[in-house]
Amino acid sequence: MANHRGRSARPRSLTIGLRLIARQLRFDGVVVVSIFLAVFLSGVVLIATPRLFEETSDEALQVAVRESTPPLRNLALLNFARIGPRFDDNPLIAIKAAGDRFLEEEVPASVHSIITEHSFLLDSPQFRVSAFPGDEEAPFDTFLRMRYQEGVEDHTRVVAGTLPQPRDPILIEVGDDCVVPGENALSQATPDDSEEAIDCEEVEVPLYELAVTEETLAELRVDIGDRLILTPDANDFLYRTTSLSQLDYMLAIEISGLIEPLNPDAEFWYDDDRLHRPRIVENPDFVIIFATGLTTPADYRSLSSDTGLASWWFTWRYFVDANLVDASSVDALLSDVRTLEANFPPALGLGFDQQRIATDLSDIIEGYLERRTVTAGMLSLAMVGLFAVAVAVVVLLSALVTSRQQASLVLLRSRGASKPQLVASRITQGALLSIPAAALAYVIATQLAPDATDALSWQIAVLVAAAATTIVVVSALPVIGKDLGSLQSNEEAAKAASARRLVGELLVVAVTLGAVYLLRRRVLIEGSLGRDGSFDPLLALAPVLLGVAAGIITNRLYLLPLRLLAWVGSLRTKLVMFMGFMRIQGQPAIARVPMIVILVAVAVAIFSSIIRLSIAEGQQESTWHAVGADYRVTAGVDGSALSARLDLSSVEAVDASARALRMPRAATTQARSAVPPTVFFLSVDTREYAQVIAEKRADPGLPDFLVNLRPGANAGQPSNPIPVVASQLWLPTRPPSLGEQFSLDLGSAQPVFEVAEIRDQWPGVPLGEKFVISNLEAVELAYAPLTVRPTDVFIRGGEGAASELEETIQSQSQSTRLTSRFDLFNELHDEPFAEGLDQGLRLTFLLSTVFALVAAVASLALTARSRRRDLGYLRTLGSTSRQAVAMTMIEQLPSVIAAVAVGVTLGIGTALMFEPGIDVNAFSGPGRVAELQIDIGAILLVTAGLLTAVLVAVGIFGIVTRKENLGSLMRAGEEQ
Amino acid sequence: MTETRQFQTGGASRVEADALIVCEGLVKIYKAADLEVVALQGLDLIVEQGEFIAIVGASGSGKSTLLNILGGLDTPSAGGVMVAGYDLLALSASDRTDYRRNTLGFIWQQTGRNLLPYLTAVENIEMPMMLDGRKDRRDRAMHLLETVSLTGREQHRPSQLSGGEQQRVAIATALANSPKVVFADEPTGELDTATSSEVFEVLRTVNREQEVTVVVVSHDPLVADHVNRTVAIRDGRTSSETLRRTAIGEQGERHVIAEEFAVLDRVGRLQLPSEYVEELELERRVRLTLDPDHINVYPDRPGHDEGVDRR
Repeated sequence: MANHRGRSARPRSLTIGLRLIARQLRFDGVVVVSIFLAVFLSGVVLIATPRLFEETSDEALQVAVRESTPPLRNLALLNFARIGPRFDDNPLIAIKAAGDRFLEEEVPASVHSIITEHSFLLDSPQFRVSAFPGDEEAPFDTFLRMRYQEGVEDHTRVVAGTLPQPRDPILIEVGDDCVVPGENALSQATPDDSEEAIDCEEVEVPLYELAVTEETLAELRVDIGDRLILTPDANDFLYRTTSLSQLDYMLAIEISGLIEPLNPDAEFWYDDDRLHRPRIVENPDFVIIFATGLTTPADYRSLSSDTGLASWWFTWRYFVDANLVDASSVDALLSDVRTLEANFPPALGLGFDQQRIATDLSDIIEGYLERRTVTAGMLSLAMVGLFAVAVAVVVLLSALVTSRQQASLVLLRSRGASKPQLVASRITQGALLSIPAAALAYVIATQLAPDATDALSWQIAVLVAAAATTIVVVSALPVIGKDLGSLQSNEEAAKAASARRLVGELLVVAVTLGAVYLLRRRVLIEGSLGRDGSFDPLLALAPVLLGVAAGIITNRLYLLPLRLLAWVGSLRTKLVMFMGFMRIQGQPAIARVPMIVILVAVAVAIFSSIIRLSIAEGQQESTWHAVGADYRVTAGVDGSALSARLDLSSVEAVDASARALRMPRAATTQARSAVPPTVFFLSVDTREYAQVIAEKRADPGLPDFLVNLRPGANAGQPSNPIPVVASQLWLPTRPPSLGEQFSLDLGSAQPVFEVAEIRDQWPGVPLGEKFVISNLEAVELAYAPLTVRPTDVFIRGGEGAASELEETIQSQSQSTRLTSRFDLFNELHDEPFAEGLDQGLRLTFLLSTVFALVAAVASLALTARSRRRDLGYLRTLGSTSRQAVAMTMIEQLPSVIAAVAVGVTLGIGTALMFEPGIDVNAFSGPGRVAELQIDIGAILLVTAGLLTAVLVAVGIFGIVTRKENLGSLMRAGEEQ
Repeated sequence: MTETRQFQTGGASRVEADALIVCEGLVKIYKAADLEVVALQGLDLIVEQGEFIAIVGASGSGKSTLLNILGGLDTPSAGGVMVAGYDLLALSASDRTDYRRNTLGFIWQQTGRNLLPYLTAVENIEMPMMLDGRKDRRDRAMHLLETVSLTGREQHRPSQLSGGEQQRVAIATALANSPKVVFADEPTGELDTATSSEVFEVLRTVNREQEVTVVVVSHDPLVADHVNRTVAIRDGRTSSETLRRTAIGEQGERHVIAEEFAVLDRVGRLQLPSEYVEELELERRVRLTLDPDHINVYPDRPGHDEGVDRR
């Protein structure tokens, strides 16, 4: 008999028809929509993240530059030299020309492009005020410089008097005890008639007018019209090349008027408030005032001459516009700034007429780059995990679709559909789902970040569509490729674990755990940034790898207790228990896939929540630690005593306050054993401070000996040492010992202290400092009869107290600074990278949880067919609907609970395991080392959400099957 | 009509070159867990072109297995099977696809299993033609719907059709690509008597008018009224065949004569009807004697040795 080959089996049509495919998709409505949404959401996240990161990078760089203080972000060219006045209308033209020339000839193009304006200022050599009006004994040492700043006229206003003008020289009487009134007297005070002039010599001295601010006026204790005699301060740096003989001259200055800065915080002032207020160095032993007054350009010619061969300080300030800084060219900018710094190094021992650049722009950029790298790494961690979960969900949903379409596929094959036709139809299905989803994701993502130029966006969209289509196709291959005879049965028999599958799983677990171990070693050795400073992308795979291994192991092990429970149920004739647990064991392999998906999704969600919370808590802790209270008031010059005029008692928003004396470098003396040469000394009014920090994060738990100390009159004597808290960090070789005694040189007193407690850290003390904390009352007793002037005030108050505090402080002492913990926190929290990372981690948590919910519901759907039939059968035997629902719950809940439990453990474990590689400190601020925080709320939310979803789905299933005709229920599995 | 039952023996001893379906010594062994089930034990069957035959047998006799093999849904473990010139043991994957698409049509027992639930009646019928890239499929589908008397129901989905209507659509679908043979596995298993009769009538019409060979596996006794030939399968082999013909009596009345034959395989084995065996208490051995035109079968017991040659 001839073997009839018949017509060729090449398909006449490529697919089984678009209409049929479209109908098929519509028929599987909910699942298909779920796949669409999963692809869409994943696509949006994957496409938008790099774009948003690019936009955030731009914003972060601009914020980093903008938020820095002017001296840090701008460039200042400094020089001490003699730049003579030109005989032009503008005597300062040569100074301006020097600045212009530098900008054009020395500043690289990339740096030049971000500079919008520049100006110069000049400072005279420093003078000592040798005579005050009325020739009174100077109450304190007063030094004065004359300054002119280009453009100052536009940034100040005259409050009283006039701006300085050139004056003619005057004659003054000089000599010891020389007090002669005359028209050129320093003041109009009338001397006693009994006084006679002794050895007075009349000398002509140049007279210059200066305008000063009201605060300077007050500190100088002069008035408008008063004259001061100035002599060169031989200690001033600018005189170092000048011989002593050349310093033997005098100048007279007259206060011509009062000026006021229009905006003291304006960029123009460069954070340099020397013209606004004098620097006062004050301690119990002495007070020194360094004041600056505004001179007129017209006087420059004569001043240059009258100051002899002394140099002047010239500063050219180049203002960087943060909006012009572009992240895409930041590497070139950094390189050019470094070149500039190398060419004009800010080295000590600067020689005459040697220019140097003062800027921290390179540090700002480097800090930004480091944060950018860490942010990219953290986001990669989150995105890789999310992507893995999304893939798993799409695989699961595709498997569900295949399961639902199996009968159709079998029918089509039996009607003569070829495998290529079915594969092509599957490709078409996948494309119909994933291409629109990816396209929509692309559109949405580009709208979310319209300004980004990320060229990869469309490529990512294509990859997402291709991956999703591939998953849809691959999930059907087992059905398309299998022998038709074995597919005739609608019931998927639960396959016993074959030895080969077990070996395969063991191999996967072993390889996975090995890879994770190696990754951890790498992280411990090299850190998260690796050798080349870039984030290790393999680190991002760690949670996923662990999830896969954990899923495989859990899949195997969780059945064991269920078998026991089923046996218990059978013994006690508990139908629900028995059937529920027995059904779990009878489930096909595909029915266990949702558990792995839930496990990985929960692990990724919890991992993300831990990182997010750790950063947020770290920021809180850091700011509390940095400030030491809600607010802290300090003097303008760090470590100086607060202004005596400061009085915050009238501020209603202040709930409590505590004074403190802070000396960052207090020298240790008279110790029996070796102690650090200097320590960070903080002496606090501990009873008040206890109220300031009560129930606040900053509360270190004040020891009783600090709070309730009753120091005697001899406090600080060797017989009555003051008990202190000392830092664990002490000497390189050892920590401090309890009972160890030493004294500190606090100026006019050297009290003796004794270590009573040892701590790692203390609020308000920077990390890494060797510190000593004492009770202020005891120190004050040790200082008596001198008065201790506090340097800090810790304040308790709400966020709304800031404005009232600021207003009060500024009205009393403009040099005093207020540091707000709230502002510090907002600065950290609102930093673009930190904010972007927070949002990215939130999104990862949310989407992972949603995907876990989808997997939990899909788990129910995968076994719905066989469950409906079994429950229908039990109903024919007399079981109730309630029993049916209970059985379904028992069937579904154990896998979800196991997956959640393992997933949570895995998420926490991964975070702890890779803690060295997760640089939370990059976002939490420098105040304190951030610790990983487990987000209990997130765990509860995920757990409750999943359990609720399962319960609701089971409930709906129960309602639907209860209404279903028992006859058709019994056919479930035979029909589609 | 009266039915006269005559028992005769007969069978094919050689392959019929013109037969549509030829099964020789077909064996099918299933392995389930640690058990081997021999569903077919050397089955022989010949079906001529244009026949309408029924395959009957008890549950587990192997009839559905035979149908799956003939339908290209399964492969035999041993033996030979040719359908419409296709050697089903030697088919490549593409040939098998072509075989399923163009040579045969298949109808299952479960009405819902024959149709795609999301397609209308006419679309279900068009679907096999779509696979083959046929252009005139709408016209042909409408014609087939008319053939199965479902004109006007073409836009209905399976869920909107009765069981009998679904099976008629299934028949039309099976005929879509003009197959040579239609296999039906218990097509009336889920239908009532009246509907079953309608379905069989449709199959009969298809067989008669379109000259399509129809092979029906059925328990339904009604099938006997519609087929010319019934093949009984017992223990994985064809045990007997019943041929029906209509005869006209002396009074002009019509009566159907059903002749039951025991099937003789190529090595001369046949299955004796079980009632004969029980009646004569035949067991283990039987004694055979040869007469000029028949063979006698005697039980191996004293008193039943007539004709024994004792030389």
